[in-house]
Amino acid sequence: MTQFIHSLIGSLVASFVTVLLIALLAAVVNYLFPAFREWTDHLLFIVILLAVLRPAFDQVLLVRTMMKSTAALFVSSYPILTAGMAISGNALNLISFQPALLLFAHGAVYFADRLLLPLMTAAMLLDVITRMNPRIPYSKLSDMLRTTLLAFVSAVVAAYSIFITAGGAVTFGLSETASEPLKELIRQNIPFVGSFVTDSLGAIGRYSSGAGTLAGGWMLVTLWGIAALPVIQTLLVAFLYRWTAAIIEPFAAEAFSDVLDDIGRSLFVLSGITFLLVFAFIYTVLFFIAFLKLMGS
Amino acid sequence: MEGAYGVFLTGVLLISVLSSVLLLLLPESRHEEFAQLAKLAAGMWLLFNLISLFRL
Repeated sequence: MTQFIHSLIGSLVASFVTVLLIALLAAVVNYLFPAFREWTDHLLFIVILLAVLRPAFDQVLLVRTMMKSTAALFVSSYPILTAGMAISGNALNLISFQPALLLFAHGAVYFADRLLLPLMTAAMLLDVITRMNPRIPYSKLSDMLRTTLLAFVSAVVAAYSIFITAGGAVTFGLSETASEPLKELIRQNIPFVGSFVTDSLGAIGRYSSGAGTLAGGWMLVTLWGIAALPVIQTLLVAFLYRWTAAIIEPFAAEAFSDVLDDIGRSLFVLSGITFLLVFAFIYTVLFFIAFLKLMGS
Repeated sequence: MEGAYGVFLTGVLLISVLSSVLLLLLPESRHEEFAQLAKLAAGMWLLFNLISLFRL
């Protein structure tokens, strides 16, 4: 487990440790030369930004690259898939995979790439600007952007589950009594995205139980493991920011811990956006599997 | 759309960074006066972009 976490965020830990050390050093300099306090704080702010903004933007770029390649995959494979479905016919009847969902999945990925990611980056930038110069605050604007993004992402996830259950043939696979305490635990402990992590898990459960008969349980677990990796990575990076913020709060100026905390919150939203991508990807791959199975039999 | 969005964010960033650097250089007594000017600049930039967004 430790090795797994290390492989995901190991390379980032160094820059966060640097921030901790520099913050401590700045506290020492502030004690020795109190007259230059303002300058030290500004320099520290720039150093912190140089050291820790990079991981956050790397994560955004990673998600963006994944979205672009996934969208390319969709564009190239959907016409063939749909044509194959139309020819074979029985695949649609058997498990009620709706071709409209393909359009929806592609639309969600396109929308996330064109609108959600830029808005998320803007929210992150506005947070940094606000902390850098508190006399011109943009905190309400960035909060508004984040809330809008979360609302949009949860609406899309809800629409997915409606799409999936509307087919009727797919039944709810996870037992309610067994999964409910677990859901509540996740909802309360992962800030911001927790509630729709559980909602989407419900939708996955409903969907996978139908597809599981075709694709096999372990196949689904593997697929989900691979697809959920970027989400887990983004969550870990976000937690790294918030932990650093919590650690430097006692000895650094308030603005530094606040800016790290805000970047962490924006990254939680990013992991929500990544969820949309994962949904679309999983659905497409399962579509492929079901299609090939039916064509083969 | 993307070009205008980038220009807007760059402007916001420039106003904030330049005003914070100038605030460091100015004497304490002039801070309040300059901060009002920076706020005015930020407001004008925001409104200008908002209006040009609806003009498209």
